[in-house]
Amino acid sequence: MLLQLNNIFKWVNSGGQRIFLLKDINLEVQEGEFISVMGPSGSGKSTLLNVIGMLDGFEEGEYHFLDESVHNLREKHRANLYKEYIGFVFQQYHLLDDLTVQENLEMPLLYKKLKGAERKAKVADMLDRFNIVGKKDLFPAQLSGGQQQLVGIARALISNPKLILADEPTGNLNSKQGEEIMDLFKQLNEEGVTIIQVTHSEKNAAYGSRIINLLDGRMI
Amino acid sequence: MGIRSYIRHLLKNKLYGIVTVLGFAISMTFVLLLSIYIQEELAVDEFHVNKDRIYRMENEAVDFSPPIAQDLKNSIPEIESFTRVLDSDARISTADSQKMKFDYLGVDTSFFEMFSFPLIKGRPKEVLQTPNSIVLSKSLALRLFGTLDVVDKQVSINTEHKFMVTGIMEDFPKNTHFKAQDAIVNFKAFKTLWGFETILEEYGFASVSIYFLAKPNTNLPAKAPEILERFKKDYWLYKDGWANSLVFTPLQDLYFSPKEGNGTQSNSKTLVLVLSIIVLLILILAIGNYINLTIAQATFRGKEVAIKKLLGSSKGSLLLQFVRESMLLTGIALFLSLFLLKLVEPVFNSLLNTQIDLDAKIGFWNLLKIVSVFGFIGAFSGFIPALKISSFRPIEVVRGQLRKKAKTVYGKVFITFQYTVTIGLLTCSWIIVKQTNFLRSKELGFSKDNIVQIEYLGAMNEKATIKNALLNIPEVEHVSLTWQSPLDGGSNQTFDYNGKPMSFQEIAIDSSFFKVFDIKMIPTQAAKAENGVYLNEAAISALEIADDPVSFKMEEFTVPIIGITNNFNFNHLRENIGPLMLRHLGESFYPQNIFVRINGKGMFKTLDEIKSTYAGLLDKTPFEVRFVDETINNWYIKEERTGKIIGYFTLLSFIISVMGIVAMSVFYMQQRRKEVGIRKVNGASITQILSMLNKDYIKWVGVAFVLAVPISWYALQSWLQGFAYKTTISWWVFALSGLTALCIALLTVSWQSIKTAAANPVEALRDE
Ligand SMILES: Nc1ncnc2c1ncn2[C@@H]1O[C@H](COP(=O)(O)OP(=O)(O)O)[C@@H](O)[C@H]1O
Ligand SMILES: [Mg+2]
Repeated sequence: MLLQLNNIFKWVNSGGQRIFLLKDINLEVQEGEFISVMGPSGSGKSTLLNVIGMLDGFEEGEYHFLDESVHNLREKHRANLYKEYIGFVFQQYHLLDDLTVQENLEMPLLYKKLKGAERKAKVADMLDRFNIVGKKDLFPAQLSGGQQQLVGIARALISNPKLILADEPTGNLNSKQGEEIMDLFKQLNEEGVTIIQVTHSEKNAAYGSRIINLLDGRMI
Repeated sequence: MGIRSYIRHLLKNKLYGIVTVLGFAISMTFVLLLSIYIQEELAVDEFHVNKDRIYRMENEAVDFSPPIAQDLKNSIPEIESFTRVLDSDARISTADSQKMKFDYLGVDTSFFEMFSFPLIKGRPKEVLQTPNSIVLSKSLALRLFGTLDVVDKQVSINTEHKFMVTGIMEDFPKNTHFKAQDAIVNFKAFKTLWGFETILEEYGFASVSIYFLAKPNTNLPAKAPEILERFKKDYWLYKDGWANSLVFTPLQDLYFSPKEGNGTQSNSKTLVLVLSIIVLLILILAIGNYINLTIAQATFRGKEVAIKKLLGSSKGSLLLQFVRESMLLTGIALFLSLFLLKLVEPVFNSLLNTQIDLDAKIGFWNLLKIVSVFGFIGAFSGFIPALKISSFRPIEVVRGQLRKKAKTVYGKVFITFQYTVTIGLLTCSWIIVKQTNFLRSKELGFSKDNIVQIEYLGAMNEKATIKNALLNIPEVEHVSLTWQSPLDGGSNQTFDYNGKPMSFQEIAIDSSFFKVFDIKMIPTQAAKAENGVYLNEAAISALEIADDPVSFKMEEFTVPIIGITNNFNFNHLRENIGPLMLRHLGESFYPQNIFVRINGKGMFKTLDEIKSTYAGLLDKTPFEVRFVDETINNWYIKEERTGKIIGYFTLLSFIISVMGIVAMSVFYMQQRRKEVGIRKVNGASITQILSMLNKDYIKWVGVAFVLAVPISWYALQSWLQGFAYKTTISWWVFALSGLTALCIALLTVSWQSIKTAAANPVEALRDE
């Protein structure tokens, strides 16, 4: 088992009222799963992904990741945990515009205190694997959307995470580019990476082994 | 949309609004104020109708002999007329008024025709025709007579000399290089006033300033070399090497001339220059801040623009909108700054000792000028960011790529520039304060405390009586009578020493002098000699008689040296201590000063006692009593004023640039929020983020430091050149200024960067 959410509630206080963003979420994810999260806009998909990614906290419930109880961990420890095991992919790619493709890929490694040579090797590996060696010195603005997302995924993968969290990774792409990305996910999943993706498209959701439906912060 | 949406936008972005409008208004207030001041200073003597034709003849100083003026008029066809000017003071009275001290100029008859000082009574051509005519200033006439209807009335100078009032003049305005004068008399009056019958013919007396009015369309200054040649042949001042140069300086340069003429006042060109630079700096900072903040704001207004563009708004109309908004802002700033201007005016006047009269300055045309300057700045600073914002491609905005575009090199350059200014200004004001303190605390070589200075007004034979009467006051320790004093630089004595010209300052003293001033004096072997003099060490070395200082040859006389004093200061510390000769105040020598050393107990009671004792010995003549230490402190008033002015404006520019830095750092951080979010999601810790954000600023401060050090070092070096005694430009002043800037940078940045670094990345990355 990779992670387990038990009775997770998340809310914010607004004008003395509790607004629930997540209600009683119970979810168990095994290593190697490929899960698609679906639901209407505003139903809490991103929120759920952020909670799983430990970027966001929650008010009630338990969260176990591998052997750790995330709900009891200190901030720093938690950061180390997701740094080690989780990679993020975003709808808007979120690449750094001032950095080249190569530098963007290297960035997460800087924060893992890897030696220069080791970083170079990993970046080279990744460029090779995604067939973007020729683009390594280009800036994100010089790439197409699909290529940018490719870099985004490469960046998420570069520190060998166990889990990839992808929030509408194909939302800004045309259907052909989207298809390529989904094929890539499929392949990664087959190589053993656990993937949780948010998507609006039935077709993309079908790539997953399991579909979770959210409505108004609740799993249905 | 339009103005109303803009105002809503301003209200929402309070910091932006405040920094932009207030910062701009404050800056412009001082830019206006200083511009008016500089403009006034540069316009000194502009009111003279003949301003382009008036020259003052100058050598190393401005002193010439009276007959030279007529000689030149006779031989140089370019000269239309001349006036000699000699300043003096005396006591004036009417038949039934008290004697009053007054300052006057002796000038030639052409004075009022040459210069355009307005006469209330009398005609320029006529008022100075006779040697006993006198033109009173309006204020002196009112003080003496209480009315201006005084033409043909009689006044007495020093009781015995009768003068006829021939005219009344307006008091001299502040904007002329002449000091305010109470009266003008005919130059010939010195014959009787000074008992100097031959003054008009005396070549040996070289102390008058000479002004020439050149004929129209002639080039008098070009004649200078020719006249110089002639002087070198037949004028002793040049033949004997006292003077070597000759120039005709145009009237409007006189106010900034370091050469002090008769009855003149001056201002330092450096001060005006420094203030101009400061004005420019404030202006650049203000406009720069404005543009910078607006561009930074662009990122937050991108959506509005994008939507408008998508709705089909043309680039032109968008530009217009931005320019209009900017004009609105500068309009608000204009009103604020006019209001502030009125508020600050008295403070400014008292600080700079100026008489800026805003009401007189803010006429229709000036107001129009100011409004158009503001209008231009408003349009300009609206246009640049407008050009930038309105050229954003709307699709990029929609896709959230706008932020990146607003990060410009220009922003970084400007921040660096601001730090450069900050460090430079800090360093300069620091050194100015240091120099002023240095001058203040400089050893004078004599004791200045507890000494009272009184004018000697008794008769020649009352010297002993007055001295003894003062000594009878129990708190009085010593009394010394002197002619000249350590406070006024002494009188210049030039003589031939073994074929070389030698220039000494001279003071005449009595035996109590050294006790009163606590000056070290070592008697020589010849201490008992008759008619001996005391010399200071500088004089001994100038004479090159350090081995055997017992006497020296002054022209053909052998003068015994009875004592040697240390090099105490007898002049303003701008000057080096030169040779000084102290001679005995003999029986027939009329003293000018009484110096009284008191024991310092019950100072004011003692002072009253001295005053009443002294008054009892004189007839009703009023007299002045001053403390020596106050007089000395006053020497540095000009330096201190300069220091203060530069200091205040430095502080102001400093505040403006800090405001800009704070505001910029806020925007800088907002621009980097997303990047920070991305980095955090990819594993960066808060400390790593903090150091990344602050590193940039440290880098900029470093660059600024490297730029600021040589610039301010050079500026300070030039400023200090004017002083004989200079404080050191210590390295630690630079270091501390740099550190201060760094602290400011880290404080202002950390305030924002900590917030940014600690923010939840989810917030930063959420779609708007
Ligand atoms: N910090 C927050 N404060 C208030 N409301 C929030 C916060 N985070 C999310 N929401 C709200 O919760 C709902 C779910 O958001 P989100 O998880 O982004 O939905 P989805 O990704 O499914 O479209 C939305 O209505 C959103 O406005
Ligand atoms: Mg979402």
